[in-house]
Amino acid sequence: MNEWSVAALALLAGLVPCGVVCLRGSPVDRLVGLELAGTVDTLVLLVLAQAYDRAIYFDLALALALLSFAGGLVFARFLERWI
Amino acid sequence: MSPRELAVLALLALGVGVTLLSCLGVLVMRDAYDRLHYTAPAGVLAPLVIAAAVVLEERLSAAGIKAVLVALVLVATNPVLGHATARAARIRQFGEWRVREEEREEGASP
Repeated sequence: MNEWSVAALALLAGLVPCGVVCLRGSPVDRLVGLELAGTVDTLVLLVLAQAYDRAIYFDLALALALLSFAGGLVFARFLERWI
Repeated sequence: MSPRELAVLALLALGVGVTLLSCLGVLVMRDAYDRLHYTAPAGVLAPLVIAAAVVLEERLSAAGIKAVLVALVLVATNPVLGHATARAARIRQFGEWRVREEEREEGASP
């Protein structure tokens, strides 16, 4: 277990507050929690790719960064009027 | 431990610390506008710092370049997402996102 694995574990702890925010509050509050969880997940994948020393794993972080952005925009658009 | 390893550790710790503090800030704040402010450090500062740590360790290999790419994507998309979310919150609250007449009057008064 190297320092990158420890960092990934520590970052995973950050998902707990995001989950709590997603579970309570208004829909927009929950969306903010979801967006931050997407960012934290991307960072976890980034750090894990370095921990396993496999360059191809960085593509996962890149895909998640792009997809969580698109997902967040779709949620924001729907929250404007319809949900 | 070489100075470069120390720098990697320091950058990594900074990135993790900033992210965890951001998560706590989002949890503690009262409304969505306040919470949105606390997503910025995790979405802008932390990716840059962690990518810098990866580049320091790997140099500009495939891993280093991809880490920088991920950080750049996060830095570019996070403010856009924050803006879209705040806009959605405002439209839900007032029906439109533009400055309302009452707010304009409040801003004009001393």
